[in-house]
Parts: sequence; structure tokens; C-alpha cells
Amino acid sequence: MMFTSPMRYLFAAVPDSHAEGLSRELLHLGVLHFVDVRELDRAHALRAEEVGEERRRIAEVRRRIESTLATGNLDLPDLVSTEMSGGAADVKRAEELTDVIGRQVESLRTRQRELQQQIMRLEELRRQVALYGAAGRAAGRAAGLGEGHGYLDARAGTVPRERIEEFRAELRAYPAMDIELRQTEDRVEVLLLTLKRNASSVAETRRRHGWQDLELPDTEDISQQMPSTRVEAKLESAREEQQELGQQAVEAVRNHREELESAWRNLRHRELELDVRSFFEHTERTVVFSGWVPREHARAVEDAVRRATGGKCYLRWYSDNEMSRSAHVNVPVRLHNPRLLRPFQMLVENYGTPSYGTVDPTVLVAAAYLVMFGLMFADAGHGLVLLIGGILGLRSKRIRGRTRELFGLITWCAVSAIAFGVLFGAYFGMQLLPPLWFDFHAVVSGHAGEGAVRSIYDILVITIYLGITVIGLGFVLNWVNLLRRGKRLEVVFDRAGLITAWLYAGGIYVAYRFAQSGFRELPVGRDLLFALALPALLLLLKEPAEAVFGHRAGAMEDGSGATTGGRSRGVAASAVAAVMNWLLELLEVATGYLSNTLSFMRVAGLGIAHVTLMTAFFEVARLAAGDGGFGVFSVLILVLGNALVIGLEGLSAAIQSLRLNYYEFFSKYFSGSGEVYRPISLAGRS
Amino acid sequence: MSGQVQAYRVLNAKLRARIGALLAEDFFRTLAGSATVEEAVTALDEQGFTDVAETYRTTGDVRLCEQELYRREIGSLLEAERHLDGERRAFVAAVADRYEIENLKTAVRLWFESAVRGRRIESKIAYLSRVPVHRHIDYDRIVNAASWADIAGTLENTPYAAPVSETIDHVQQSGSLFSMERRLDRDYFERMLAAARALPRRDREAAEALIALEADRENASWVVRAVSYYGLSEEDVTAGLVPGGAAFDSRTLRRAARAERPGTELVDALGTQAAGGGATAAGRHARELELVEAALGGEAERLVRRWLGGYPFMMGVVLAYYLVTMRELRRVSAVLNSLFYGLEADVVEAAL
Repeated sequence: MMFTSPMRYLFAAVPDSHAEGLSRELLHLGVLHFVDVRELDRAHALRAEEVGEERRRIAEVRRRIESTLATGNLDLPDLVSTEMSGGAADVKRAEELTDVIGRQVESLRTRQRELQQQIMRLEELRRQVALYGAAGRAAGRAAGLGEGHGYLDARAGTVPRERIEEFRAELRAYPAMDIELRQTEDRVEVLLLTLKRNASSVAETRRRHGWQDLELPDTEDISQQMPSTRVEAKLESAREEQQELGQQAVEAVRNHREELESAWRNLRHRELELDVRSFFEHTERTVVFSGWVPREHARAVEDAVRRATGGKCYLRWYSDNEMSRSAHVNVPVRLHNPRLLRPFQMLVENYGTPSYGTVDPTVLVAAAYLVMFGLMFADAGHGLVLLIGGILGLRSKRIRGRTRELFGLITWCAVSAIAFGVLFGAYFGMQLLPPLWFDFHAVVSGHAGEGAVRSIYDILVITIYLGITVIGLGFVLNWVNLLRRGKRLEVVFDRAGLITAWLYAGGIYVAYRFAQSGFRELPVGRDLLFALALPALLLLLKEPAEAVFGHRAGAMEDGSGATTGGRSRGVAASAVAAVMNWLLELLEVATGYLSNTLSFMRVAGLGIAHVTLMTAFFEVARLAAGDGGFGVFSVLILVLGNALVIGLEGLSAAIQSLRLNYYEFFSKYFSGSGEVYRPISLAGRS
Repeated sequence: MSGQVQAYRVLNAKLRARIGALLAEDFFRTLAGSATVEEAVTALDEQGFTDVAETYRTTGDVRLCEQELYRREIGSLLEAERHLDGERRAFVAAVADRYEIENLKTAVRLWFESAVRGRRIESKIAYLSRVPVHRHIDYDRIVNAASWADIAGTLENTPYAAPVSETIDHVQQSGSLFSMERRLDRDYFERMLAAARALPRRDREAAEALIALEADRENASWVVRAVSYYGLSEEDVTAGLVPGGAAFDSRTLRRAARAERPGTELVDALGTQAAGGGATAAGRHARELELVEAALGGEAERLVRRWLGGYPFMMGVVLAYYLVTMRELRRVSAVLNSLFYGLEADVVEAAL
């Protein structure tokens, strides 16, 4: 947990006939990070297994199933360890299944499309009817409705009873509305509304169906008969039918849920198996493969290979050092932390992958992040709201992957906010219980009582101490990393090495003494010499030491400064360059570490802003009530104020904590050049 | 803070973030590989095109999905416009007028089809975009107008009243809407050019580069269509050209207007300018118009790269966003349409 997982390298050769079973075993174990054997030794006459075409086809059908499941609002099933029935026949069956469902869905969509046409025609008619209803009624009355109004053509007439359905069917091609007024023995009296621009076509339709004009009823009657409610009702019914068809499309998929899920599992299983087999290299009768395995899983992998091959296999294990030295391959990096810490591992991975064998900073990031967040967002009530949000997110089945980790992070932050809220006695900006540490609100408001923390300056000092601690920890981690990578010289001279740490500690000591004297005098003499001058001078030895202990040896052997004259000129130039570099580095260390440390004051700044905002909202709420108490409006202001603070301050605190970790902490020791460990497992190539 | 930085500081960050979130090239390949529209909209749904997916799942209508994409396209430019002030805002507004003009032309075409040519327009009218851009134009009134005068009346107090009313006679005589549409386009480019001239130097250069690109596209498309498809005379063709182009001078355009294969003339005229822009690669087997468009598409890509790689606080970022968003949405639209009409995979790929 403190370091990246130690790995071992496996080289294996097994009989060709066991390839199928072996790939299945390795997939189920899901711990082998495959390495193409040919990358290591091109001399072997190896032939890669041809899986491309089959895999492509499987992936294509698998994606179609995923799309079909999405149409049915169904999540992807878990890839449980089911036995495969395997092979091309399954792909064909799956393809047929998606085709059948696809056709069902498509026919429903076609019907939806037809309804949409009808809806659009009705909508157009509605626009005209609305125009008629709003402005045109009076004008229509004055002008006589038979003349129509605006773009509407209204007329009454009769159609033979046996023709009425056909007549209506034909009218569906237009924005038209027919209202049955009454039926006689052989005819139906109809009020017909169409658009003027279709007048000639509709007239032809009327003629063909034996339409006979009637005098239009009284305008008021028409208004009661045909207004927009009828169009609305028709529209509503068409939309309902359309929605129903949409639901039927969902059901059409859901009816095949089990078959689809089973087909998906089958295909995905096969696809992953082919992924494994794409790393199998063939000789005449054997298959060879290689890859990295976390040390604790090496035994399980060996057992699995022996089991799958009946012991007919050749296995050879190599250590990480052996491989990286002899074959110059990168050892993949695996961060292995408890599930609870995954949100913080996500933050680390987001920054980069640590180099193999170095510190896995997840635990330390968790601690630093939570302390920073808690100090900036210290309110138990606000924390509780975040906690509810975080837990709801984690309980939702729809939230997966990185978003899930994000909700995990919110939950952790909530716990931190609650803890610091209790320490500072802050509950939704109020002090419901006495603080366990100090009253942040009272300190910010300037009426803190007795105690170690009485002013804003004391809060700022706390955050500077936090900064010194975090940066100091960064130094230590850097030394550990450098030692583990065998860079002893750099432990002394690195930008975050021993000498720089000495300078940093000296600077802190000088600043502390300066502050103790009431910002009047700096320490003098031996103190200053030992704290700053000596480490600064030692830093001057960096370049010569690097040259002597090998860093430049290679360059000199290559011929730079090969002649005596050239060498003497090179030494002079190097000396000048070394002094210049030293001065620059001193300047960089002084300004860099000073700003790094002061940067932590933002923690106090945001904490103070949090308190100040809450105080302001309470003041506004009091002013809104007028009588010094709290009314409904005041409560509303407080609720909105709290929501605003939770949203904005929560986001700010989260971002600033991340920033401090990335820029002030990681920059001291993190070397993000590692290759991610990506085994092929049932969860995919992680 | 300088005026230029002040003017674009928020917008620059916002648009760059949006550009960073555009669909990846890989995704387009996946999209084009979809077997059905259903599959394609599911893939789009996962990429934030929920509105498009919802529209399809409710209506089954690809043309309505296309309308959603069009709405997005208009919305993206209008949003950029809202973040700007003064002459910069006026220029972006002038660019965005394009959507208003396109809607207007569609409405007038529908009316013309129905009232003058006596054709049924029921299947088209529903897809008329009524998305408001800058001015309130009652497109339904235009489609249902009783006469030309009614249409002109609807456009009162808009910059479109004069071009429409002044070309009515010609339209009636020729029985074609060309003169009216070309006049609307020419006025549009003139307004853009006027707005560009009011901009500070750095912004003006970007604005004029966009206008040149759009004018070249417009002129090339017009000349090829007018000669190859409509067989118009040289005078009619040249009368329909818009100002502001850079790649084709008036002599080239006149020569193309006389030529049998105007597209080839134009591509030849592009010469080295088309190099690297895909003219020869993308359009070798394509029709003439596609050939020219491919060449000018290369120029658009070059402009986008230059603007995004250059000084960040300037009009170029807004215009780059406009060009890349438009391209993305039109590609999505093209793929959906190709799938809906059951075109072969290679045709779908070509739509990219």
C-alpha cells in the first residue's frame, strides 16, 4: 500500500493444443499484464495468433447488443464467470437476435413517424385555429364565416354515410379537422376546417366523395363545436399513442432481456479470450506468452497454467530488476489500495502514474486532502448535506466508474467537514454545541475568548504549519523514492534533496526567530551561517559532485572535451556555468519554497470566507425580518444561503485541496512516468 | 487588462472548453459503422446528444433530429454573441443572420411551391425551422400568404423587406426565386463586411478571413449549380455572386460561368491554395461541386488551426468554434440521414 505493487515477469511455453483452455483460465484470473514476446526477442521465429477478424466481428455484434439494451433502458449485465458455448455460431445467433429486435423496434418507429406527420399537421391547424379564436372571431362574424378567416377555410356539408371513412382517411393528408354535426339516414353532416392554401386539392376530395354544401351554422355554434380543444384532444391522443409506441419499443427489447444479456456475456467473454490469445505467439507445436504478474498472484498464475495444461508447460519467472536491467522493459505500475481509498487513488492516477517501485501516495493524499478540505469547509451541517448527497450517489446503480469514485470522494469530504465542524462548533453557520478545538466563527468575527487561537493571524499560522508539514513530508518521500531507485547522489543534491531540505528548515527557523522578535531583527552570526549559508554553499558542490560521481562521465567518454586544450576550456566554462546554475537554483529554492509554504494560507482564506459568507447570510436574514427575529422570508434566505455556500464553497475547497496536493506536495517527490498495469480480465482491459 | 483581453476573457475559456469536448474522430467512425439509426442515436445519447436521441425515440423522425442539431448550431453562435459587446457583438450577429435568411428562403420557397406552382407542401412545411434568431418573423404567415404583397408586409422593419420587394417583379417574370435569394445572400455578405470593417485590426482580419471563406463557398456553389444544373446565362450567374471572396477573382468566376465544367475551372484556379486541403485526395472521384467544397474545406481547417493556435483573445476563437461546431453537427446530421435512407457503408463514410 505504501509502495507500488512488486511484480514478477512470467515467460511460458505450452503445447498448442492447450491454448483455448489456457486463455480461459488466464482470463478468469485476470491478473496478467501481457507483453508481446516478440518485443523482447525478435530472433524467435514466432507467429502471432490470427484473432483480428473474429474479434472485430464479435466486437461489432457486441456493440449492437449494447445499443439494443440501451434502447430498452437496460444496463449492461455483470460479466459473471459463465461457461462459454463459444464460436462463430453464437455470433450468428446474436446477430439474428438483434436483427429481430431491430425490426420490431423499427416498425414501431415507423408508426411513430407516421403519427408525427399527423401531429405536425394538427399543430399547424391548431396555430390557425388559435388565430381564429383570438383575433378572428369578431372579424369572422362580421365577414361571414363562409369566407373563412385568416388562412382557415371553414365550411359545412354532407357526405354519404358509406363514403365518410374514406373521406376522412383522405383528409389526413392535409392539416384538416372534420367535426360531425349529426347523421341523417344516408348522409353525415360535417363541419370541415382546412387551410386555404389546400383549397383546390380539398375541393377535389370533397367532389369525389359526394360532398354537398350546407349553409354554415351560426358562428357561435361553430365556435362551440370546433375550437382548439378538439384539435388539442386529437393532438393529445396522437401524442399519447406515440408515447405508447415508444414504450412498446422499450418493451420489445425488455422481452428479450435474458437472451440479450446471455448473448452479450457470451460475446464479451469470447472477445476477451481473443484479447488474451492475441498475445499468444506460436512456434511449430507450442504457444509462448509472457507478462507481468503482481508478486502475490504469481503462485495462482503458475497453478492455473499447470492446471490448464496438465503440467505440460515450461514456466520461467524473472524478477523486476532482472527484466528492467537485461531487457530494458518498463515494469507496469499497480496501485493497490483498499476499496475505501479508491477515490484518492483516482486523484493520484489523474495526476500521473508513479514510477515503478516508488511511493504510492494514496494514503498520504487522503490524509492531506481531507485535512485541507475540512479546514476550508468546517461545518457539520453542511457536511451532513454532502454526506447525504454522497451516499445517494453511491447507492445509485446508474452511477459507475469514475463518477462513482467522485461520489466516494464527496462522502469522504463530508465526513471531514463534519469532523472539523464539530471541532469548531459550526452547524449550518450556528453554534449548536460548544467547539472541541476553537470557535472559528468567533475568531473571524473578532470576539474570540481565551484560548490558543484568538485571531485570524493564529488561523493563518495554523495553515502555514500545515504547509510546512506537507512540504516536509514531500521531502521525506522524495528521499525514499530516490533511494529505492538507487539515486544516492540525488538524495543529497536533488531539488527536494537533503541540502534543499536543510535550507528550507533553516529558512523556517530564521523566519520563526524573526517573528518571535516582533518582526524587528533577524538571527545573526552562527545561527544564520549554519541555517542558510552553509547549505547554500554545499549546494555549490552539486555540479562538481555530479561530474565526479558519474553523471558526466559518459559525456566525457563520448568525446566532449577530448583534447587537452578543449578540456581546459571545458572546465573553465563548466565552472562558470556551475556558479550560474547555483545562483539560479538558490533563487528558485528561496522563492519557490516560500511561495509553496505561503500557498497554504489559502486554506485559512477559504475557511474564513466560508464563515464570513454564513455570517453575512445571517445578517441579511435578520434584516429581512426587521424585528430582530426570523420570519419565513429569513428562513428562505438562510436556506438559499446555505445551499449557495455548500455548492460554491464546497467546489472551491475541493479544487483548492487538489491544487495544493498536486502543486505543493506532488511536485516534491512524484515522478509520474510509470506504465499503468493493465491486466486482461473479465472487467475488460482495465 | 487590455480591451481585447477584456472582451474575450470569459468567452475564450468557455469556447475552448467546448471545442475540447467535441466529438472525437474515432467516434465518427463508430457512428458511421452503426447498422441502424437506432444504434446511431444511442451512441449519440452517450455523447451528450440526449435531445437528439429523445426526439428520435419519441417521434422516430430523423428530420426532427436534424432540426434539433440545427437548433444546437444556431444556439451555439447566439450564445457566443451574447457574451460579446459593441461592434464585436454586431459582427457575430451579422454572421448569425444567415440562419434567419435560410429560414426565410425556405418559407418563401414553400409558399412559391404551393401558391405559384400549385404543389403540395404538407410534408415539408412541418420541418420549417421557426427557431427565433434576431427578429420576429412570422414564417407561417409567409407560407400561407395570399400574395407577394402579404409576404413583403410580413417582413416590414427587417433588412429583408427591401431585397424581397425589389425583386418581386423579376421573380414573377422569370418564374424562379433565384434573383430574390441571391439578393438576400448578397445583402447578407455586405452587412457582414460592413460589420467586419468596424472591428479592431486583429478581429477584423479574422472576420474578413471567415467572410472570404464563406463567400468563396457560396460563389463556387452558386456558379456550379447555376451553370451545371440550371443552365443560366453568364450575366445571370455573375449577377448572383456575393462580395468578399478571396480565392476566386471576378475573372475566374466569369470564366467558370462560361465553362462547360465550372467546378474544374474553379479547382484549377485554387491551384496551390488547395494543396494539403484535400482537394485532390478527397475529391478525386467526387463530383465537381464536392471537389471545390473539399478544397475550401481544407482552407476552413487551416483557418481553424491558425485561430486556435494563435493569440487567444480575439474573434478568431469565436469563428473557429462556429466553424468546428457547424462541421460536427452537419456530419452527425449527414450520418443520420445516410443511415435512415439505408445508404451503403461507404456512402455513410463519405458523409464524414
